[in-house]
Amino acid sequence: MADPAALQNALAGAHAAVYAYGLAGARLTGTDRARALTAMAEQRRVRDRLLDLLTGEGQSPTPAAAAYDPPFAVDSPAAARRLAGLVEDRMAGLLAAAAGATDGSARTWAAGAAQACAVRATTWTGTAAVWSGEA
Amino acid sequence: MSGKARTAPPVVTRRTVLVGLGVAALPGLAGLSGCSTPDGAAPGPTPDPSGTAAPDDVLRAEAYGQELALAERYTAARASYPKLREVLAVGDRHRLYAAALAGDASPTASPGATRAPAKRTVLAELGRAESEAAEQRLAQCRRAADPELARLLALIGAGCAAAAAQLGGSRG
Repeated sequence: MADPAALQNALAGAHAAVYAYGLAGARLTGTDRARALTAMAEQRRVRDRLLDLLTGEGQSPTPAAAAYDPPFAVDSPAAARRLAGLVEDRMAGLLAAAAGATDGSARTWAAGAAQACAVRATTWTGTAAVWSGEA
Repeated sequence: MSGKARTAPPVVTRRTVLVGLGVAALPGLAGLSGCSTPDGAAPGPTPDPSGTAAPDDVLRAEAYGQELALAERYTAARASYPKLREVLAVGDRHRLYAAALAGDASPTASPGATRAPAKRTVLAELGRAESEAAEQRLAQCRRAADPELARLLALIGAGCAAAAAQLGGSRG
């Protein structure tokens, strides 16, 4: 029942999100670093669930790229927080699309995960996006 | 997804720009217009008293009413506490959400006064209302038949959860 394209898009995003948290975590210290590591673990769980869903649909999951270029230099804690906020915001939008493309327990999970990403984005940036994934 | 022009699935190159996360960003809420607004009805979808409305129309009407009610709570709070105007701006989203649910670009505010709670609790109460709205949108998302409506409800739920987080963060 699922539309694989939306799941593949979300998976590609989750791969990038895990990578981005590696970049961001390296620039953060203390509480923020711990938060980044927790969020990275959450994005890994998102990635793994998407992998399971796609495999269950008989699809070949989008592989991760070897590396990802951040859209701006991640050379300070402020830039790291901004990147984390951007990643979570985008993931919220991608997971909302995944919710639309699935049904049943997969949809419930995707919509809940979209909310969790939106909350984390707000925690990083201090500002709640009106439409996640739009920017 | 229902026939909307979508970006092709991402091609993974050796280095993929992180901005690629946006490959499936909103195709534009304009695509939502024209969805099941009752003929000649007021701005939003309204529950069908005859009980013959399709389930998605019922969901849409329910979410629309809840979003407008939430918008009204912010309006009342702002009127009572002008100094909180800035933090309460987070509630502006609910008119946009109602508009998207109605397929209407410019919804009219529903009349009716809502009394704002005491100042010390207004942010906490709005935060709780946002969390409840996020739960409601999630439940409605689960029930939606139309994938596009499910996606919209998931997005609105994310926005409500984010607003709850922002209000929670601004209380201290």
